[in-house]
Amino acid sequence: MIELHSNQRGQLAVIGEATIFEAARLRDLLLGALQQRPAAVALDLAGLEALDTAGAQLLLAFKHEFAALSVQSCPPKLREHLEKIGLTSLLL
Amino acid sequence: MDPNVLRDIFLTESDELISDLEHGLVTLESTPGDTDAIHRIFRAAHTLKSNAGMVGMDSLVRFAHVAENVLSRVRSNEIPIELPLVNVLFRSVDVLKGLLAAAAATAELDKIVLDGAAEQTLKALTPYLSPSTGAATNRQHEGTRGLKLLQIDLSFAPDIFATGQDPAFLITDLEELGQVLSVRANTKHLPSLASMNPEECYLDWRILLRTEEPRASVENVFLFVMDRSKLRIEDVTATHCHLDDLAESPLGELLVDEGLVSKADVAKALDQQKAQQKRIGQVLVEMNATDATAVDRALRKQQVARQIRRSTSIRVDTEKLDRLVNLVGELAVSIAQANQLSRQPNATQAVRIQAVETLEQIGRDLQSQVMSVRMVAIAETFSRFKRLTRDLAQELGKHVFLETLGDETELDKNVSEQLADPLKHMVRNAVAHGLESPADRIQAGKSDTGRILLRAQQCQGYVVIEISDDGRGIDPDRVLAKALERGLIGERDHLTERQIYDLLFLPGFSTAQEVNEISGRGVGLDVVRKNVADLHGSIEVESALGKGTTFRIKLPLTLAIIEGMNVRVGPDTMTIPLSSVIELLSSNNTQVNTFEGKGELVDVRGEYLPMVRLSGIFESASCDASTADPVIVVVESGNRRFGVMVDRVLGLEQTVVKPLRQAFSVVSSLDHNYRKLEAVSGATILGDGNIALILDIAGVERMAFGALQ
Repeated sequence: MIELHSNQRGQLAVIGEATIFEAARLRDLLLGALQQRPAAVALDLAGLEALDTAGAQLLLAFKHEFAALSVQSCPPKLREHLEKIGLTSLLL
Repeated sequence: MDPNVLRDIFLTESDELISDLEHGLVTLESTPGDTDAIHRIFRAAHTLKSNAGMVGMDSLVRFAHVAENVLSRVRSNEIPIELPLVNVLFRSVDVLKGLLAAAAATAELDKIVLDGAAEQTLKALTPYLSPSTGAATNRQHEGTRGLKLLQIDLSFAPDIFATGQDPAFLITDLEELGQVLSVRANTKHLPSLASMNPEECYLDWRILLRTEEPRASVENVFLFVMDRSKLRIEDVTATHCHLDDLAESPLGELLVDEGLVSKADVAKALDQQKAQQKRIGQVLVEMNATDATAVDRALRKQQVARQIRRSTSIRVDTEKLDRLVNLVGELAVSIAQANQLSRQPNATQAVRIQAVETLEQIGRDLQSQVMSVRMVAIAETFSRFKRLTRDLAQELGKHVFLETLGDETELDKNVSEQLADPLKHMVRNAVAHGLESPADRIQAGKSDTGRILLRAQQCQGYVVIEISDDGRGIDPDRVLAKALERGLIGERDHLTERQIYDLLFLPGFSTAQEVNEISGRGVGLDVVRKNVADLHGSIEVESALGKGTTFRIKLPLTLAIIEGMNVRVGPDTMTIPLSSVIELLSSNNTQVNTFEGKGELVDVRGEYLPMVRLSGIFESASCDASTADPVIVVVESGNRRFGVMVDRVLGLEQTVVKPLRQAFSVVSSLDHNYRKLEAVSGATILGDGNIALILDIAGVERMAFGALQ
């Protein structure tokens, strides 16, 4: 199950598994967050438990909606996955 | 005949054939070139297929047919025997065994079908049948000794995720075939979040793989996504080896490639060159086939390629790399901490400063570790001289023992490489001119075996290399007489012993045509000094008549970073290498006098040193009016001490040396100011983004005072 929480610091925390199985839900959550037009958003990935290319692609599309969105605290294991598919520099 | 009897015969024979196949493959795996084994395997597969046809076992016929065709290409050397292929062939044997087991259990051989595993194995065999893995690939393979760079462009079917595949899995598989050098994702087709289907793949990839495996093995990785994905594999080994080619290309070829001369002209020039013993570039210019600038440009290109190529590989102790990795780890932690601090509004100033200082410390450690990666032991250079000494000694009828000390001393790889030639020259000089013949040595009461000592040691930021011999030494009186005779000094010049020995390094002190025992020591020493100066080093000589001579070379540890003193001259900032600086004098408290014909002299505690104003050399807007108290920096070049007047000293800084052309994008104006560049060895980018020229003190000296006068 994937969840999106916003905290007081204006950060969006992605919690759960960002994989193909949750892709549809993750997109809806991200779209919902987008519609609230947040001013300064940072994405906090500390609570992310799994990530595949489908999930990474969604986060990337979300990032593209902003001029400067910082993506923070990506767990090392998931960073490895991003590294493998050449998305580290594009997403983090 | 009873169909069951026929089937039994078929099964019995098949067991033998399978066993032949397996033995043959085992042999092939250990000896890929064993043609007997290849023929045996092929025959077995072929017989198995024919027999299966006779009993109507179509599935086996279909499978064996593909395997046989692959083996046929192996037999005719169209595809190389490599591990992945042998593996697929072993898997094929397993499939055949499975089919035969099924045949043993049923009377209806024609009903047996290929299962999933069999189909997969068939798919794995198929690429070996495609002409692209044929002879051409094979030849290319041999040409590059197997190792090649493949550029893989991947564009997946949109529903790849839905099939349970992830590009990351495929990249993992690629990693098993070789070294994945880079993975670049292309997001060009990624739509906006609102319009994207979250279950579709919109990304494309370009992967650079270094592998020894045949292209077919790479294709196999994508076997299950190949149908609906676009896969392009290109061998880019040649493109990436371009530098190698360029460095080795003869000049003529380079010019032809550039479209500057025709092949016919080069051929003609080559003929002329043989007759005239000239350089090809010169001949081409004389033939009016091209102009000197084009030749120069091509030569430069060739040189750059050689330099780049030379610096592309270095052997690094894994321990050094481990330390580097640890530091990078620390860096990541510190950055995270700093990041966190930056978002804590109530963090105190002191805590923030502490975080920056930690980062700074790690930065410094990283710098020194990275520099250490560039360091190589001088043993590599020293070891070349053992053979040289032995051969030369034998040729000259001398007995020489070469000893080395401090072999483990490390210095920058570039420095080490550029030092090899001057060192060789000096070792040769020592054997040829420094050491006496065995008879002379015995007469002088020495052992008949001369001793040459190469010693390296690190002190502070320098490496000091000594080349000593216990030979006849250099007679200062004879050096002086020679210099007088050559007009290098005047009758009334009073030189200290050190200055006398320095004369040995002057161009024209001695020429190869008239080598004698003493002046012989000077042969080529001007070139040696120039080489050493190019490395920002200095060289001096000490000698005791009858006892021996020591040349001492002092070099900075690295060329890439120097300790520099930043000074202000007019509007410009310049950097003086700290290794040349002796002391600083305030011009207010120092006597500067102008002497007829000698220029300005500065009185340093009773010793008069010549002085030069940098603003004069660089034609900077003079500053004396605006600066109340200019500073005189006393510097030492290889030849002498002198004063350099600057407006202000800004401070000391570790300076990263960049070649001029890299620091400036506008090259033409630099070329125009070439004369001034003689005094400049490079440039550096200051903290505020401005560029500072790094002074070459020997060059400043040459410009200000000429070679000697």
